[in-house]
Amino acid sequence: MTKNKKIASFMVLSFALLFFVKKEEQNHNVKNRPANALLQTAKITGESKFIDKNRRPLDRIPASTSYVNTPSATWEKQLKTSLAAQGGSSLKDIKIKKEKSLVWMRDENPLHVESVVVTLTNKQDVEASFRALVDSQTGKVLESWDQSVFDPANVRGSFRIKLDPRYTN
Amino acid sequence: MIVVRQWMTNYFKATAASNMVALLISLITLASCNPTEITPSGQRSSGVYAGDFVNKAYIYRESPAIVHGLNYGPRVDMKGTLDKALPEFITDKTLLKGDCSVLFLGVDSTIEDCIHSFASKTASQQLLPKKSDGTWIFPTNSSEFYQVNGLYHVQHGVNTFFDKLKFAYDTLHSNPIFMWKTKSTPKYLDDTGMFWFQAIAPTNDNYFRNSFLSSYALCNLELNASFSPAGPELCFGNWAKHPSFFMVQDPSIVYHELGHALIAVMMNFRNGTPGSLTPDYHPLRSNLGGYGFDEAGSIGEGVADYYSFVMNQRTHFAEWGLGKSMNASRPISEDDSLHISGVDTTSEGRLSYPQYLLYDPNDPNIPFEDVHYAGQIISHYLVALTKELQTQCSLPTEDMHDISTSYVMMLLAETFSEMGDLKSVGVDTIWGGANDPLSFLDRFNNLDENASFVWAHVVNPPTYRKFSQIMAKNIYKYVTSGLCTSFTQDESEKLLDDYGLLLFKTYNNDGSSTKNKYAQYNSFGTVNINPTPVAPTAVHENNRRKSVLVSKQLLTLAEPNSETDTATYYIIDDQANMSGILEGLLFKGFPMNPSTGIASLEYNNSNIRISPGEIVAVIPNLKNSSNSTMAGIQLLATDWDHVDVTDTTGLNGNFKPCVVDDVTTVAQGAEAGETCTSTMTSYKRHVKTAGAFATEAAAPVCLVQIEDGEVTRWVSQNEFRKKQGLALQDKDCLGFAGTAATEDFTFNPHECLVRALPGANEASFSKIDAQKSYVETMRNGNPEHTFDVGNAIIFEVNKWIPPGTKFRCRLRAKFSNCSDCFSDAADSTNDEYIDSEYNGAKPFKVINFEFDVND
Repeated sequence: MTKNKKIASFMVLSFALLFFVKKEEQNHNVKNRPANALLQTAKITGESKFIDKNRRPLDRIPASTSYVNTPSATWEKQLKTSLAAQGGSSLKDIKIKKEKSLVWMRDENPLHVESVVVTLTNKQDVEASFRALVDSQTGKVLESWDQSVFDPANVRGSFRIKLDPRYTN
Repeated sequence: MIVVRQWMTNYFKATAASNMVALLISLITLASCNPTEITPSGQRSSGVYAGDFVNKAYIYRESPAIVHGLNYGPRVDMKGTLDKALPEFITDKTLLKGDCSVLFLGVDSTIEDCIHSFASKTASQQLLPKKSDGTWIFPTNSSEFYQVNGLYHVQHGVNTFFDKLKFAYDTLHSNPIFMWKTKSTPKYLDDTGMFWFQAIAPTNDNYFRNSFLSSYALCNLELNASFSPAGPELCFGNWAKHPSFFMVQDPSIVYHELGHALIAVMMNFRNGTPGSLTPDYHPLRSNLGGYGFDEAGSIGEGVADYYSFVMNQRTHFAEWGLGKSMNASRPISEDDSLHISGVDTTSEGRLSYPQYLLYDPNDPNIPFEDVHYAGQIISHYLVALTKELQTQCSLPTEDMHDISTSYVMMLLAETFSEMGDLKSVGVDTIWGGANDPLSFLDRFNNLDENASFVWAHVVNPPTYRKFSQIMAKNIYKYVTSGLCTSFTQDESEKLLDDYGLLLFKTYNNDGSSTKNKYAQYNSFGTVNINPTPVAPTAVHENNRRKSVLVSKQLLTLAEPNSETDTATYYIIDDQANMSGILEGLLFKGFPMNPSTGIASLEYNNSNIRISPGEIVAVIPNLKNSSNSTMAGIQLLATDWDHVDVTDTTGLNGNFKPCVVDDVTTVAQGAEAGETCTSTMTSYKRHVKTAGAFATEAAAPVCLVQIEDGEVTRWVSQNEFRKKQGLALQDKDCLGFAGTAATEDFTFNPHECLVRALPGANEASFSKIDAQKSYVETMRNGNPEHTFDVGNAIIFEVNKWIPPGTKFRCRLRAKFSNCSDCFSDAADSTNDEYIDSEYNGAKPFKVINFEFDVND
């Protein structure tokens, strides 16, 4: 076999293998076991049901149920109050859009949380947004992500902390 | 799914005559436009177009500054900027939106309507319909015109990205050289839809608010542009002073903002895996950057600038959008004329780290700490790498740019998908399937799926070191060992070193698990327990000439110095500054859960001391006692494993601090025994679980001094509040959000008195010059100095604290050019610390920040 033929054979074999792998993958997907979900979509009574970390539907009660927080109807109001307190007079509007309920394993406590999108509008009518996981009972933000990235033309014009003159005297 | 685009079918054949007629008609039409204002919405071009113009429009390929020269404008009429020679396909849809289509190994994956183009954000915003003549040709300078151009450039950028992604995916998953190597870009991307902002999931489990990227051509932003991943959306602002001036007129800005979006896509490649019925997604997403200056954000800006180069091949960014408005355009290569003398494409002249971290080429005499300027080092490196690949890899001239940028984008895809991996398994099967975490025990990225977000974004986030190390690993793995063998390890290391980015001793490619350095995966993705761990590939030390590494032992808090007018730390406790900081943090997406009734700005007394009830920002002034610059310093006030929990009842979780340095000693109540030598392998804060405190947990940073007879000890704040005659109840503690009837399961009583606020519990410092403090480096004698918000850690102080109470907060510092932050000095292979070791002190220098609380 010439060198070229060897290379050609190798390529054919590789493509055949690739085809096999792709097929195998598709088959594998069908048979796949449930993926892990330590952090799961949850539906709590009435509105949503609990799904445990192995993604077994929750017709059974989790062992740690007594330590799971109790979802409150006021979580959104509490969240808004907290955001308004931090935002002070700079904000014109706070919009909170709930996307889904989850059970979030935080410090080994399975907590009912709400996944939300927060959109803020400041006094200059500029909008910024981020996502957050919020404790369904207390309205506390447990994590935030997907923050807006701004690219101002005047980077030196952003808010800065002034050095107190008492430190220079 | 196959999508056949109408323009591919070439229904109409152009003739010179028809082109001339159309051109004449369009010129007559366009000449009637008002050059300085947007034509009222709804006004349609009076021209009649058909044939070759169906689904098309005239577009501007470049900004007015490129077409007419840098002296043109800012008053602008886009008529002269349009390319009238060739109308471009916009969309064959009836509304102004486009599809995302990518071929993975010849199989088309399409997300329909993945881009929507609007004018500005309104409650009643609607997509622009196509004109009745079948074209998208609207009056030049009109709102519709900008929406159409916005879609054109975004779609062009997206299509280019998918071409690059196709190259990366096909190369990684079908090139025989790479088939038997583990990769980060998953083979199941098409099954999860994570190649775009869409998850394939049940309708009640939306991963994104919208499955399409919205582009707002005329956004309400003054001289600004933005990318918001939560939309996702792109916003291109305007300039109130010049009503005809818009950011969207500059395609390089469109590509830059789109670059941010593409980084967000690539960082989340691994955060969805195929499931039995539907894919499974991590609930959080990865992004680059924090609330102020940091290296992650700087990498984001550099790569976004680079994407502009990928698109237009020009080594300068935003001549119109930033240059015309604020004289703030940026070069992307050293041969740009804007650079100061001394910057050139020689090894010595490269824009190297950390020398040029604060370099503003438009105002080089006034250094400024900002992610955009710092990001220039990354953009210049990526352009230089692209050009090196063009030279070294004998690429055909006509496709040189395309192929070389495809290589670099593949490296970026691999790098970002590893850095942003929240599912943490990190290794797929050799067949490309996702390992099932229920049966696959080890984790190889970002500790584990519960703590991964904190690890990937706070504890061990992307830095210049991490980015350049993973890039170098991928260059070694895919370029040097496959695509272009003439670009050797030495070539790669020398180029990195030219940029001061050879900040690592090994490629960290030994495949150790995040929790056990002896558990290592091999090139087939098989995990073995190796009694002697396989050593990582070492950097050739003789290539390290400009990249200087410095010991963390030379980083301390500065002593007060009257000569240099500098302090040990700076406290900001005036209401005006603090309001601005807190408001700014929230607007940037960092809510901090301020305590209610226990601390608030109303207690802030502006005495530059820490007083009960205040919310204060603290800027520690770190000192570099070495003879080289330290850079990329990160100071953490997050909970960590530095205590020995002595309470075995689980009732109060009292602890002794571990001896981690010579500051907190056994005589002061610390523990030096065996119990303090182990490191947690997962991350758990010191809060109650199942009604009790665990015997091992990450504790808050701040200890409090307690008096026991004649002995003083450093103890937990929970112990102090119960023993020191305070008898503070939970409701009187910081961070408590329970009620009489309900418990707060996230409440941490060990930070009852003083706590670093979540969202502001880390600080970043660009660099500290040799033998100087940070403030000396930055201030340079300027009494009007201002600090970046990213320099501050924010603390809440309980109003019930007795005056005179002493606190010691054990902050942890590491930096990018640190010689002993990433591996043990005793390990001759320089094998890097595994993720779980970031729970403890090893990678860090502990910085003890002490203060009394006084009125």
